[in-house]
Amino acid sequence: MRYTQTLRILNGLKWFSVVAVAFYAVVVGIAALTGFFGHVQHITDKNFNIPLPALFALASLVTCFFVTRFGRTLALENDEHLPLVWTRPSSRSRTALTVLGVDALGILAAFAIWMVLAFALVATFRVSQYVIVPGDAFVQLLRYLALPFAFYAVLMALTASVEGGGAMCGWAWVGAIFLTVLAASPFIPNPWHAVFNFIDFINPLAYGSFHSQTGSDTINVIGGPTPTYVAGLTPAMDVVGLTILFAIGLAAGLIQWRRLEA
Amino acid sequence: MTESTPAISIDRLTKRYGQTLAVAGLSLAIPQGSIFGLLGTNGAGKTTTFKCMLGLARPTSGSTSFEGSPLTPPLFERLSYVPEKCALYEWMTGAQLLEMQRRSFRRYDEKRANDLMDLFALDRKKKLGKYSKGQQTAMALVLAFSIHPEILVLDEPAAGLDPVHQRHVLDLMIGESAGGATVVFSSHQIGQVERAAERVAIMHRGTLRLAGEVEQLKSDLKVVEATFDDEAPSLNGLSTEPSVGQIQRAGRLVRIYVKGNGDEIARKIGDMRPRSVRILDQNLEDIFLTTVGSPSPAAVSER
Repeated sequence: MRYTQTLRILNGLKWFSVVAVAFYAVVVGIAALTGFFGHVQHITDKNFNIPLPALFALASLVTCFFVTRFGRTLALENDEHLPLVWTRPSSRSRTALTVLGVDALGILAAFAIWMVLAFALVATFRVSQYVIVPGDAFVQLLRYLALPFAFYAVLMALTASVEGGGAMCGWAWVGAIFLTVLAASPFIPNPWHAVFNFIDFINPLAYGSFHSQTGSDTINVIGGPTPTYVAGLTPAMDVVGLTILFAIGLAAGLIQWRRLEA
Repeated sequence: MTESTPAISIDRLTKRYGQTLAVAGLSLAIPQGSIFGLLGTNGAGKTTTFKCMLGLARPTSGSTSFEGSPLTPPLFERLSYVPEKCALYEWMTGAQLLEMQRRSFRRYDEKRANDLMDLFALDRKKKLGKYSKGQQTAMALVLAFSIHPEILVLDEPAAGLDPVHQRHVLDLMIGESAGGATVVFSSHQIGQVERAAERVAIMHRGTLRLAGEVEQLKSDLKVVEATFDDEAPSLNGLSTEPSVGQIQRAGRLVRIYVKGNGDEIARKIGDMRPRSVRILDQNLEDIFLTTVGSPSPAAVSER
């Protein structure tokens, strides 16, 4: 399974890289055509800055898109491939954990590719002097690395016992966004507001909101300053929450996978 | 493990899917080094039996053991399975699938795999999604035989293959068995089963109806065939004979399937003054059809 999953991940990373390069080309192309380069090189707003965690958050969000394809690997195997997968001299748990190991490297690689793209854009637009590294940058890095892993594990738990799992992954995105909206909405009365906020604790995306404000300069990624219970956690608590989600999601996925029938 | 320990023992295996009883109390012992054919109509429970044997489905009750021990993942190092539906990874090339096999099995024999790819004329560079159904079946067979398995479980291994490749599959099975491997396979092509299998079991609606050595079954079961000058008379009187299995009448022709040598039944038919009476060996198809109770379309069954 390691070989099969490595081929899948490499193919996925190939397309992910193509998208990243295309994105870079489009952004730089538009900037060149509209004269935006000159504007960026003459920034007069002294509040302008690019917090490094914002770049982490963006890379993490894009990596979650990548994960949508690979969080359902067990479901893909359940799509009539089980007689091939389960008649190898390896236990079901070991097979699933092998897949997870390969996917983990893929997740890290996807995150790294997007960070390289971000730094390439910073270099191209010559704004590296505006990139600031806050004191909690390392914890934020852990937080935004943990996010796609938690999202991956939750998708695995949702799809491990279905065939294919594509629709389920699509609905997972809809559910995650909808849940964040419900939890943050000031128009939802209590007790429903509290209920949605508690349910939001199992929503990995809720742990990823990033907000930065310096003077009039505001940066929001993955929801920004949503007034939810999860958004009130510190970055370190977010890491703990995402790690717990990862562990529970993984265990739920494995338990289902072990109990499947071909 | 002794030489007399069966390669595969199935003990009172039962599998239910909701209200549907797919396999009911099946017990079989498959000797080491034998070729064992599992026959049955569609829905007889053959595929479910294979899945339960190999742990791909959980039996409702009963168990299977291999050489006296329960199935464990390491056993798959020397056991190959070709499922009825060969769902290979369509995005892979033939060469990539072989590489997957090489990395999974210590027993993988590259030369053997390459020889088999050539035998079935499979293109290594082509994606499996571009293979025909028969080629996908052949690819699954290449994987199965490439590890020199000691136990082979093949569910409809020749389905979709042309007659030349069907013959290759039979030859491969016979070759592996000659080398000491145990081969269990199912097929709707009874001629192939008769050609390759030393032993057969016939399942019908989830139950075992008949099992034994092919030659023994054929010698134990005869057909008494009589032709009359006019419409064949009613043979209701014979239907109470304990040796009579099934009576078929089609116009002037009567076939009576009997256990034993058939002499007694032939004598009784002779008393009815037919134009001719003869005692024939049953072939495996006759045995199968009488066992599952399916007469030829033109015939009227009296029992």
